[in-house]
Amino acid sequence: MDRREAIKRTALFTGYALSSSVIAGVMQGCQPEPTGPDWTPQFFTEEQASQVNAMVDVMLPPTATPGAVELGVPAFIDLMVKDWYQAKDQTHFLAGLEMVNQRAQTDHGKSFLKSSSEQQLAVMNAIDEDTRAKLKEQAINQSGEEENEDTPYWPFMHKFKNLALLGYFSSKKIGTEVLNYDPIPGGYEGCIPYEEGGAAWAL
Amino acid sequence: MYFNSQGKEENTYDAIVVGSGISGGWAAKELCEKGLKTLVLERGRMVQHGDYPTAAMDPWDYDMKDYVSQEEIKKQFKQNRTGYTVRETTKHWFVNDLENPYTEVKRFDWMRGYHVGGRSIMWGRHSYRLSEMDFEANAKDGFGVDWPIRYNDVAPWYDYVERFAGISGRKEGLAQLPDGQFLPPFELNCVEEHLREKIAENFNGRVMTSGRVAHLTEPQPIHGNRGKCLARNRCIRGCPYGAYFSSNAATLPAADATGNMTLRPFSIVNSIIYDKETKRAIGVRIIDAETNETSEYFAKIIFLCASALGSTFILMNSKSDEFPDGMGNASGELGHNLMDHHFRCGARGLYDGFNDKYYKGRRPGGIYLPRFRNIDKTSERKDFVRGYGYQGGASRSNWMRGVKELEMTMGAEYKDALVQPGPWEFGMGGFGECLPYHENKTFLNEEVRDKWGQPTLTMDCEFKENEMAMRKDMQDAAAEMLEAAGFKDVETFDAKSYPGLGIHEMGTARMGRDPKTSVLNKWNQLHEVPNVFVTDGACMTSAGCQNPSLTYMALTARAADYAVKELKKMNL
Repeated sequence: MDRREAIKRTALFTGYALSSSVIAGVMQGCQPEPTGPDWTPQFFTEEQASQVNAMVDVMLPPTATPGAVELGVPAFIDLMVKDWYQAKDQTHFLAGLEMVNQRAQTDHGKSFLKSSSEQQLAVMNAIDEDTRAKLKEQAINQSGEEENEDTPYWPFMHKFKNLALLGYFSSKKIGTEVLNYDPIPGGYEGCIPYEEGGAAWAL
Repeated sequence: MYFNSQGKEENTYDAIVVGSGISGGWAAKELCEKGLKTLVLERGRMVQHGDYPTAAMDPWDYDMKDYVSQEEIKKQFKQNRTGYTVRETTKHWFVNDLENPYTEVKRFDWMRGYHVGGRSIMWGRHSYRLSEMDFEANAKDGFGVDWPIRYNDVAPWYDYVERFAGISGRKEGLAQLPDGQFLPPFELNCVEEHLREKIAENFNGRVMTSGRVAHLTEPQPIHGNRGKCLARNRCIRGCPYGAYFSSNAATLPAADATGNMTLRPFSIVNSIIYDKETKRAIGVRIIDAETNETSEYFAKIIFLCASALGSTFILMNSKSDEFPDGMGNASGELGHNLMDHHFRCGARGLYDGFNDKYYKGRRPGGIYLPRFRNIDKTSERKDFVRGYGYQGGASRSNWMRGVKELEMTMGAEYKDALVQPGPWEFGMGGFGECLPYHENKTFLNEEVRDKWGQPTLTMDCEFKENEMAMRKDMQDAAAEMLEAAGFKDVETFDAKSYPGLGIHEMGTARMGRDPKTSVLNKWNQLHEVPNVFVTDGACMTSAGCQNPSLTYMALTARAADYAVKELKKMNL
């Protein structure tokens, strides 16, 4: 087990809800240079793969439940962009990664990978905020306009979140141990009590 | 139950049924149970009830979580237009578009399943009766020709097929959507109950009911080995419990149990053989889909149940001196009046409340809000004729809201919030009637050939002004009802609908009173060749706005009953 992994697991086992930035801060101190991912990318370059790894890690960090990196979500994104995406979406996705990197340079004066976890998350959330504002503006300006099936406006940050969430919530660990897994319900009950905090159905 | 012999005697049966889907399964059951030695020809592979390889798979059983690669999609690029069928769990039920091409003058989405059971495996299972106002519609407003039958002609057959198929539903006593022989309905959830009440309060005469679906909510002895619906909602993959109606689970086993059925898969019916002396069809020519060998099979009566466009193709391809333009096509209507339902249009909204309520199980249906336009004087519209019904339902959103709906910054809290169910949302979309336009048509294409060297079909079909005007109302009326019930962030949508995508294509060999303007008579017989019956969607004279499969079942059982009686009277 490497040090990075050890710190994360300790946080989990001891039950402390260490925020990812605290963990990252500890690790920053130990590892000034970012390391590559522990999986072999099929589509991304090593550098892109490291960035995807870091993005997934700050978006869905370990908390009381496992983080997305340890569940293999970055490798899943690599696979989906390679095989599921059409060429134009692949190009758009890679441009999006570069855009994130540029934004880190603009906002924090360093590359995304060299930014702290806090800065990385701030960059992603800032882009997401811009995307949301832009979509709202578009919705106001062109209400009634249908989405063209061939070129839906599916901004990069939505693409990224979609793949990360799909990989995470459709994983066996989350599907069977965190969400409420009930493969054969037996029947339908339309209105049952729900207590706040309870997990949603997995399927 | 499977053989391929070339001797004429050995290749002779009392009846031949072409196709094994919803209609073919019923024809097989009825004819076999009435004692006819029946050959069922299916162009695709064998699927025994239970051969549902993906029925128990979870998303994590696939590297790509059920999504498929672009490489795979290339083989099914038209089937993929639904957006939900070309998945690891379902793609084996849909055809290879490269082997089964068709040509589009205008966009037409032709979704096909070539295997035993056909689309009865993947169908939507909503099962509604047409009403008297549907059978009268053409006569009253002048679009198309008059149906040669009325509701009372079909009503006993609806009863008959509903009992065997098993339809869950709630009686509402509506003239525009007659009640049937129902098993208990699926419950509405709390938000749906709320909307049902508010609609009843605010919109006189509109009723939101539980979708009537072909699921056994309470199996009866007539359902044999089929089991109760366990609310898995993985129906499209095939149900190992036989809880929803399919040919594989219901009609084909019943036909087989008589000992009278021979089922021959991989048998592409190329054309019908006509005898000009007796003025009857005497059999069919088939191509073996695996070996490419051709052979002939003979019978006294032939039931075409190959799907609307499949049966139409066979008739068009059955050319002879007597029928230079295709069998039974003296009227020139064969291939014309192509219809489908238009949909993907309505409204959605969020409900702020019932946060302490949830549901258990994955209901395999939703709500149905029957047509309420143009059903009487007070509901008459100036902007369109006929009407539409809504389908949809309420649910609590899941983690997917984290892509664009959840206005929360990413990170630890966001991740934990997405584990919980989100707010209630309600979506409702209309399914609208399409008028029978003569110029909406399909015709043979001799240039483009399929894998077996046969001609193919070209589709030239579009929705027109009446459908477009209806779509505007579908959005407005849905939004109006949601707003009146206190939903917030109500927005309308029109995701565009092209003919075919409703997978209710129909009308290309319509029934009618006059042989000059229709292909089939009131018993689904070709006007010109009385021992050929067409009982799938091709026979439809108008479309109604209801999901049509239940009507195909009823018309098939009715025609089979008639055919056997006529056969006994030596009239065929």
